[in-house]
Amino acid sequence: MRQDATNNHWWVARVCPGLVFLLGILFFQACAPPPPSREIPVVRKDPFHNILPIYRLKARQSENAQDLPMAIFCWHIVESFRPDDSEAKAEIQRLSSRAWAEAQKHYARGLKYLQEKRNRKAQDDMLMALFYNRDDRNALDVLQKDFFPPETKPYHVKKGDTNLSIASKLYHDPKKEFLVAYFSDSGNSNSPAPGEILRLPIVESAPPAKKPRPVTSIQKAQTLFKKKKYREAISLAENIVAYGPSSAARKVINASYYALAMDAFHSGRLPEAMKLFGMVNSDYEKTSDYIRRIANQLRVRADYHYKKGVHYFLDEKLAKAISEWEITLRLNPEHAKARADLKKARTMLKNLNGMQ
Amino acid sequence: MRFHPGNPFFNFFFRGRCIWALLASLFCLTLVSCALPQKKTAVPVVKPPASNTRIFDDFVAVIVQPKDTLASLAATYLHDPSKGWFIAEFNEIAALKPGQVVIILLKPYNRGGLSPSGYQTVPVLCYHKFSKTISDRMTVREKDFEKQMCFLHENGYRVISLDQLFGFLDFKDQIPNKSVVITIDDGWRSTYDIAYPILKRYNYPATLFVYTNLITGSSITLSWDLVKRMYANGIDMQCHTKTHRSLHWKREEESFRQYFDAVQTELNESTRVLKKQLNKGVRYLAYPYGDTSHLVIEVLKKRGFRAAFTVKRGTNPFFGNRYRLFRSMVYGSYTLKDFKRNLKVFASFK
Repeated sequence: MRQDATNNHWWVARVCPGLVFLLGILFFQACAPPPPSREIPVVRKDPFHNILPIYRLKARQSENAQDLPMAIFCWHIVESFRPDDSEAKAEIQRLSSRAWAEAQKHYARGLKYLQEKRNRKAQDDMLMALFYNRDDRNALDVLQKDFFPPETKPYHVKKGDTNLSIASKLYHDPKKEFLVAYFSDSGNSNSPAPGEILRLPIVESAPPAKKPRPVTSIQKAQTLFKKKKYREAISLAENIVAYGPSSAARKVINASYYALAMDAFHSGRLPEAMKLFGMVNSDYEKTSDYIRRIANQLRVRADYHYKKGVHYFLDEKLAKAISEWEITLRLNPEHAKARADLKKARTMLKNLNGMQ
Repeated sequence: MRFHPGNPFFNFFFRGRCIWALLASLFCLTLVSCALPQKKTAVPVVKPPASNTRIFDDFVAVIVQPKDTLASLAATYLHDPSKGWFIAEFNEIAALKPGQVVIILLKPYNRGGLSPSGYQTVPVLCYHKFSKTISDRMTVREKDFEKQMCFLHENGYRVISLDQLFGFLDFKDQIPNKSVVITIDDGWRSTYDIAYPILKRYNYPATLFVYTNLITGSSITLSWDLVKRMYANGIDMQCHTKTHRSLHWKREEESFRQYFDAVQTELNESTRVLKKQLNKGVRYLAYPYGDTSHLVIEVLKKRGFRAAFTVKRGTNPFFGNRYRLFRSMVYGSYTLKDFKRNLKVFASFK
């Protein structure tokens, strides 16, 4: 018995300390707080997550197309969403330096062209400078000022100058002293302050030599009209109008076209008459009435030819039907039925010819 | 010292009942600790989505909601519902789709309409008279005018006001890529009867350059009542002088002084009458017959005019001469093809 008991205690003595130790470990592990690194991940689904690859791509495409400002802006959008995005930061820096260098290069080249009076090239370079740097005030100033012919002449006022003397020097006409007073800051004073720079408008002393106003031509046009040489009269009067407004010339033009239109109308050339009346001012004599009458007559004639075409069509004479409907459309281009039927007939004729 | 049955500690633990009580309590504690909340497996916890808008210093990112339109976004973020085009052009879209992300810039990104290959230009169209049936050099038929406006609408052109045009010319504001300006000269009655309803239908702004002596209210001319009605409904009114005399040509019978005074009167009187009738200042001029000169331009500058239009055919870049702006007359005989030829909105570098 004692031997059995000793055997039992031996088993307990071997196993129990291990069991106690294991249970202790389990207990402490269970009680221990979870390590911070094993925290449950919480994913906030960013509804804007799709936008970043799109703007990265757009930035690269813009750079390839030389649109550096747009490329920079696209990277800026990426950076705004991900302030820690090192690629966006680096790209913005790189592209900004490149755009600045391009702007400088184009501005310098533009100035060079400007000095060489190659204005078109200078303008393009200034525009490119401004494209790469929209805040380039220098390029903008050149574009907005340096390419226009001057409207004024500068005049440096000297001691003893008066409005009269300046007008005599600048315009070779002392009577223009009022202009000097009007455009100088001195207002009504007779003598502007010495040292002042006046910017006085360039005044053409007479209408440009290229455009002498043909004073006698209007009489010639009127004579041609009286002689019923309407086309020549129109040609001359239109030349006069091209130099500037002239009611007399306008009257010759209206009267000549009107006469030609009346002639065409009475000869039955209605489409031509319509066109000629179209050249006359609508409030001239009975132009509006005639246009209305001709339009009505053309409509009636057009309907007649349309119906004739329908008859031919029903008789299967396609070519003749087409010809009638073409006349219909010449007389009334807005005849919708004729247009539709003509299209159909042409297709049918084409198909028939194809079959043969 | 070995831990065996002879050891007094052994006897303390195992001969008594203490050991069993200890073991039982350790076992219970283990079970309890195992029953405490366990670490979950790494399944992401999705919190509700963030707001639909992110606002940055110079742009706003918005996720489009079903009720949003370009105009409503422009009204909210740019304080101007007419600037929907600005959002559309930057995002290269024609309309919004729910769920789509759009970027709304809070300032212009392309002043002057510059690109690596060229620059934007703005056509300014010039009309005079309209008629239901007749067309001539100065008169456009109603049907043709309607077709032209429809063409602009269907082909993505945007009609802008003169003030918008000058924002562009001053290199301050951006305008739509395909911008067009509509102007009508003189003050004929057909402007109100024919052009105005069509412009209103398309919601197009336009500018009427009136020569004030023509506003007599006869059967063929506008009255001040009609001018006021149009002005109140989006048609701007600007100066076309008093009598429509050419400002460039000195008449033979005039002295230079008389001519200069006449130019002043033409401008003074028309601006005075417009101010009196509409209570508005005048800033733009359309030269009668398109004629101008250095002298006239300097007078305009001195009188505070911001710009003036010729009738020289062409389109206007931001760096154009603003006292010799191009304007293309639309003749009554124009086909759509002719009309289209005057709508150049981009010039390439040479």
